[in-house]
Amino acid sequence: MPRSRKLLLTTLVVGATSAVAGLGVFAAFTATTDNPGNSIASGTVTISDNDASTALYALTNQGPGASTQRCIEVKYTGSLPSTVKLYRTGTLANGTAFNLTVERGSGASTFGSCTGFVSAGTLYTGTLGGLGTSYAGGVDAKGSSWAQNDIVDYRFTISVVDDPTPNAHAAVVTSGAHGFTWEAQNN
Amino acid sequence: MGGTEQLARLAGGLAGLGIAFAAAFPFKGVPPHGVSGRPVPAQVEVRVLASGEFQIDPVGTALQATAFPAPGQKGGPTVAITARNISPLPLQLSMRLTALSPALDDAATVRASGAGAVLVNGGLGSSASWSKPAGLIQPGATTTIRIRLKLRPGLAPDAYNGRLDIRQFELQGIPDPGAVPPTTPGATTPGATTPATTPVAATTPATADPVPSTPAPKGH
Repeated sequence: MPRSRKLLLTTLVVGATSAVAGLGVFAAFTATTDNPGNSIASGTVTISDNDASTALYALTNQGPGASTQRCIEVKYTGSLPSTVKLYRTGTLANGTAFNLTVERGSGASTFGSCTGFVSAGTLYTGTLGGLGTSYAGGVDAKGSSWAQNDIVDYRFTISVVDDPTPNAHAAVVTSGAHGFTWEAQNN
Repeated sequence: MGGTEQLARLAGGLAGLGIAFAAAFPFKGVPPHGVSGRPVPAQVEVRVLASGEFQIDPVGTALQATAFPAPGQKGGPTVAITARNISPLPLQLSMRLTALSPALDDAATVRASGAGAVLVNGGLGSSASWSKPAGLIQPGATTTIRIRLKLRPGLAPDAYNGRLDIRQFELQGIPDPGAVPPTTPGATTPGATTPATTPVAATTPATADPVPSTPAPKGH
């Protein structure tokens, strides 16, 4: 056998042996499992009304014994169950000079009008100034949790407090600009 | 070369030509499997939310389509939603289709119209943002909003087959800038009427506007 052939064969044998030895060193049993495609998204808390940014009432020259009724519709469209409370906002003056009753119900057809309104309960009866001014101090707007697409109509009845004190109303008594807020907080 | 061999060569040549032709134009004029003009198995669901200024009908799940026409074909899942303006102002319409499961974001298109205007016309994925206010509905008036979804032409079946896309329809009213406020109770300057959208654990007030100063009752 020529020397070159011997050299080649030797190289091949050494190489093959090294390969086998290498496989032995690095060989291992393996197994994996995975859990792909994870995601998380928040739910929503969303509430709206049908006022189109228009005041519920703007009354002048009101006397005792005369009351005004106005209706508004509130809708909850959030995906999370929530508790909704009603409270007063804005700057109020002479809060004890005005009476307010708020009822919840259904059937009011358009903002302002109470035609068709059917009361399901009274949320608040008292003076305008007595209504709370924060979520904590507000009144429960439904008496139960709100779910997505719940709709509740509210009837506000506002009047001036009768005050027979002589000469007590020689000048205008105004409430100032105030608002009402329905605030939803998820349960 | 005998007659039989010649015949065999001719037959083999013809068969070869046929195979070559079929390989070169495999589906010439014939749509791929599943897109042959018959419905394809992509699904879409549309859930309608209530709206502050509108009385919406239906509310809740309004569309459950289990198939679409093949990409590029006419028609598509359609839903009609009526909206009555129960606010005191003329309102323009703005809508969005937020995704609860955006499986067809890149595969489908959507066209929505109502109150005499096109509200949305484009990719389904881009309809998640509020549309530009369009159309006009007077207080007490009703309009029908029609929404149609289609698959984009030229899609591969992998882009839609077996997918379920779930959308949430929301509508809001934007007071018409040129509208004269009505004389209904407590009319004030109109403003935007975007429903509040607050994430988890936040609070979302719905506010009746501050009431203007009230001159007082007469005294006794």
